[in-house]
Amino acid sequence: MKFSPHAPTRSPLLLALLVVGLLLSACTRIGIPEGWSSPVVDGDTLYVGTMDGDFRAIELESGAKIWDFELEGEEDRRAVYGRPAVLDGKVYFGGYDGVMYALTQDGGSLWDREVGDVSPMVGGPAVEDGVVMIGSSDGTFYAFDAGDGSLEWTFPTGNRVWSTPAAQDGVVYFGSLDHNVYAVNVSDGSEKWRFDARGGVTARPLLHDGRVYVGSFASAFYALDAETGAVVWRFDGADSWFWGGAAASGDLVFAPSLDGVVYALDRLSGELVWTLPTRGPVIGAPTVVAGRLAAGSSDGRVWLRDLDGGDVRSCDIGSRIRSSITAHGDVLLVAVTDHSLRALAVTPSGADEKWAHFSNRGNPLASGEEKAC
Amino acid sequence: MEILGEIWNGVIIRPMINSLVLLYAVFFSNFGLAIITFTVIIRAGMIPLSIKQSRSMKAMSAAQPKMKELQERYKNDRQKLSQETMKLYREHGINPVGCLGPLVVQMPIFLGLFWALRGTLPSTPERLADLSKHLYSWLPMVHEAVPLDGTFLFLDLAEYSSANPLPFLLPVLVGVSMFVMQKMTTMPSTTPQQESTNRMMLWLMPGMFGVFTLNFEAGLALYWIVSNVVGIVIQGFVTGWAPLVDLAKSIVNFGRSAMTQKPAAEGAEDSSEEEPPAREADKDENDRDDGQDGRRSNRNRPKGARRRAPGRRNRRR
Repeated sequence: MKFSPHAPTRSPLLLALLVVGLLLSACTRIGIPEGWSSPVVDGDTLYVGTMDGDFRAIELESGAKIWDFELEGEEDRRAVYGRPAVLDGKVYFGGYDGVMYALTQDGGSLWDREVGDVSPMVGGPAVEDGVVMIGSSDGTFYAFDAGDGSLEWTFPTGNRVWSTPAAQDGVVYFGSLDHNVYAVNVSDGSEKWRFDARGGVTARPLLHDGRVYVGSFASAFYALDAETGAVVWRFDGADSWFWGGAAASGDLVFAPSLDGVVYALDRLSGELVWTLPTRGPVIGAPTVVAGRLAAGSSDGRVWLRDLDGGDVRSCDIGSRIRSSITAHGDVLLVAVTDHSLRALAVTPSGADEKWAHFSNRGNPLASGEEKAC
Repeated sequence: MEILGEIWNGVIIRPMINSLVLLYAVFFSNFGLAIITFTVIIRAGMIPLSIKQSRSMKAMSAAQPKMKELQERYKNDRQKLSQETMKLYREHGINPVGCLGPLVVQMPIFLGLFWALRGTLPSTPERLADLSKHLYSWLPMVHEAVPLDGTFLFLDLAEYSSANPLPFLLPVLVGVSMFVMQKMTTMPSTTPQQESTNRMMLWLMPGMFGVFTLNFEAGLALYWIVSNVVGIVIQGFVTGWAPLVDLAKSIVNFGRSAMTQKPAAEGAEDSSEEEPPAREADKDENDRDDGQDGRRSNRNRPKGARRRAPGRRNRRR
């Protein structure tokens, strides 16, 4: 930075410009985690983490709050990203505050554990054979006894583990930002196989028909043999990363990409069958409901397309959707960045909002006059 | 406004982010080396501008005596002074706004780098997801390099300087390197006004940037330090090292005088218990200096020994 002595009148102006520019820049914080938890349904209740640093139980029928549970960590780390897991009436979830929580059905604490070096947890847990498993940003995958929270085993990886694991037949599958997909035995934490996906993996692996479907930041989507980790096929047609998990129905597997497209691929060959283009990155996993594919996009819409690649419809909610969509019967449960959780009944003409639960309002309940669609 | 944002992203932010990630991939996944290389490349690209500016400054320096003459001759005719000054500039090949070139080029780079660093080393999942839209889809190498490791030596380049170990190290280095840079580029002034502005800028800018650095990412501080060092080297080769040598000499002299004064003061304290404390003695001496030459007195006064307002001591009592 140079100021010429022959231009003394310009110097203060330049200085002022510089100061304003820097101050404007400095006013923006490095980033506060907002969270994008997606709901899980158990009976008449759904459980979800909110953007307001708590975890809630909500009546599935009405959207009324049953109870809430405030996270323990520092205020700027109270966020939940992954989908909670439910087993025998107990709810498990990992917080961005680095704490693993186990709650009872009435919102009481069963146990909680600071995980590793208390690094943020972004993925949700998986429960298998009485073991609850979750990845941490400290690069380690942890397994706890579901009953008392005691540590069963750990599995180190080379980078953050933000992927929600999927477990089946005594094996848990998860991805890491070290570019690998891992298959680990639930009983002892030993490695069954690993696969180099050439890019970071945040997606929850989809287990279907003896295969593991998962995408990576290398813009590649893979079908792997669940037993060996061998590549069955690979799809390279996306322009950006695969962040969220996939969904499957019939002969199709649906892979959401940050390029804003959900790719419908042939499950056996990996060939592209059709696409569901949206106007923003698709971060969360799509789902299948009432014969349609449903995906939430950062463009603020829930997009629907017939499974045969026919009609495309959308419901404009108006705020970004980053979380995975949960289907319950013909109802879609969508967490939105306007602090709402919305229940959308899928109809032949699109979707009809049943209720909206706002976590940042005093008495959140049915929306009525604020229906998005 | 949206179009401006697109242009800003397309022309500044995206190329910067992709360059940084590419350099990271090339330089052994070391983000510190990526920033240093990036800075050297940027400064190398600006060498023609810097040389032009330095030459302009040199010419300006050579024209100073004539400038003073003009100011004296036309002190009552501002219009004529302005005309003659411009004529003098033309004769010496001086571009009066030439000094703004590097600044104009550097400002978008600095602000762009600020955003690029935040984008490249995201601290939350939301920001990591946002990074994808900035990476070129035709450059697979950058996608495979994500996420980047922001550690360099003992620093976390994604964290604020104040949140790193030795929180004041980077701000001090930024301030010192900028001070030296300023010293290298400041010329003798022709009027007391200019003198005062120069002196203000010489201290204010490094101080201000040092304070700002506390609340900026360490990666940005690293950029600024390297940029200043490279700038000093370029300036030295173009216009000579005299200002740096002078600065070094004054530091050495200051150190010597401090060393010689200290034993003298200690000796004075030891010699008699009746004498007033050293600070009182200094104060008296400074007061005497003020009567002769206020500026000299300020310069000679030790850093920690501020002048007390009259009566202040009494109020405190």
